[in-house]
Amino acid sequence: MYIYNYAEDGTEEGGETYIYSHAEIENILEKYGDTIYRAAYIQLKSRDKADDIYQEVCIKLLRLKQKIEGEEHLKAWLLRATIDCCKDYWKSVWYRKVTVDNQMVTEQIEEGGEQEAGYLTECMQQLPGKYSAVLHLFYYEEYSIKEIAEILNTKENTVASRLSRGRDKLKKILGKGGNNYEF
Amino acid sequence: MNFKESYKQEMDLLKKTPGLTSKAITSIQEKKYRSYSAWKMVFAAAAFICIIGGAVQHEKIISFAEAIIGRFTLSAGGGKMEFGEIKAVPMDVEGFIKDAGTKIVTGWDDKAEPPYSYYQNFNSYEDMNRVTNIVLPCADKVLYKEISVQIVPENNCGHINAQIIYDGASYNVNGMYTTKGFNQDSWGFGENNAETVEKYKYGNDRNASFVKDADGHDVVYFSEENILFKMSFNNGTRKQVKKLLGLFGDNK
Repeated sequence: MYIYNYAEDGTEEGGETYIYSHAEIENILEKYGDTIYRAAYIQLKSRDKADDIYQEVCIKLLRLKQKIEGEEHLKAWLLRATIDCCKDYWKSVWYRKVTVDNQMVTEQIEEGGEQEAGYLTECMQQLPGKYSAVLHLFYYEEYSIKEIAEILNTKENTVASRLSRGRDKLKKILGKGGNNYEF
Repeated sequence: MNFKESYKQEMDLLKKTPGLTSKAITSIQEKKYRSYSAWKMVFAAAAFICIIGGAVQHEKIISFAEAIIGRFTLSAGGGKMEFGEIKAVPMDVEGFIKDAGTKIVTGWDDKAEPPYSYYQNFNSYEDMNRVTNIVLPCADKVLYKEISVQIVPENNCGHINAQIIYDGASYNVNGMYTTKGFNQDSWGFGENNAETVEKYKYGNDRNASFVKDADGHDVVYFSEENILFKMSFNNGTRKQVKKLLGLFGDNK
């Protein structure tokens, strides 16, 4: 599987031609919109933030320099772009210094705020992003360790390690709630 | 129970926000339009400015609302909007941190990095006020929900986030406050490529600045109760926001 690169800076220049038409972008978003949204929501634990990430990914899609051939490649690219956007969010000055932080949002959800996610989703959201990303791709999107490594642009050993540690951490969280799940 | 099956069932129920795709496409179209017509716009804008002699001010800015030793300001296209003198909130910081316990902000790698940031969430304005001594504007007239208070003790400043419900609309606010000993050169809100839509006066000569950020989101900056607020109002209109600001202004 080859993951296409996208223009990181996304500078807009006069006369730039976009590779996907309006209708094509609409079709892609209709097909993979929920996939993007779920990956972002697991990472950022907030619907508002997931909405923002969704739009960021759409813009990255618009700025692609070449079309992505094959549905599987396209889906993988969208997931990679989503997770990259989430990582950028975590690293951002805005997050560190200014915005309401992820943990605060989670706590509010636990305290009875608006929450539509289920119990397992909430538990997944308690994990650090690097673990929840791998677990989500493995258990929900059903990618192999090799494929996840390509999506996340990292080594297979790293993915395997994160999968193992993430699973252990998740088991502990689930155990606190008195639930024993088979993995 | 099988985790994979149960998790899949939960995730399948999670759908993206209704209308998000059309919103994203609209946003893309706007950016596309801006991109295609950028040079034409430059010439048109130059001609327009020459004709009207700068009578209309729509600035493309890097706006930065900040606390610069003693005052809240919003930088906008080389100019500044003043929001007044900063007064420290009489907050019991040590007590707040003690109550916060392990609630320290962490990131992607689950690491907290200095300067450490502590937070607490509150179910009501009254709870928040009792613990922090922070006063929010017109708390007896508007409803504050989902209140979170964050503090960076090392820097003597922090943020308060909340949802305001008033007159059938809801707004998300991010407020910046300071505590005793604040002496940071610059601590604030950043917006790249934002556009000042309107500079607005309310109450007794109080300043507010309506801004459209790079993603087209509407926000307004204003200062009340020694807190500099950035408030998004994607669900409300500018008219409704002005009514809310009027309420804040009348309360003085």
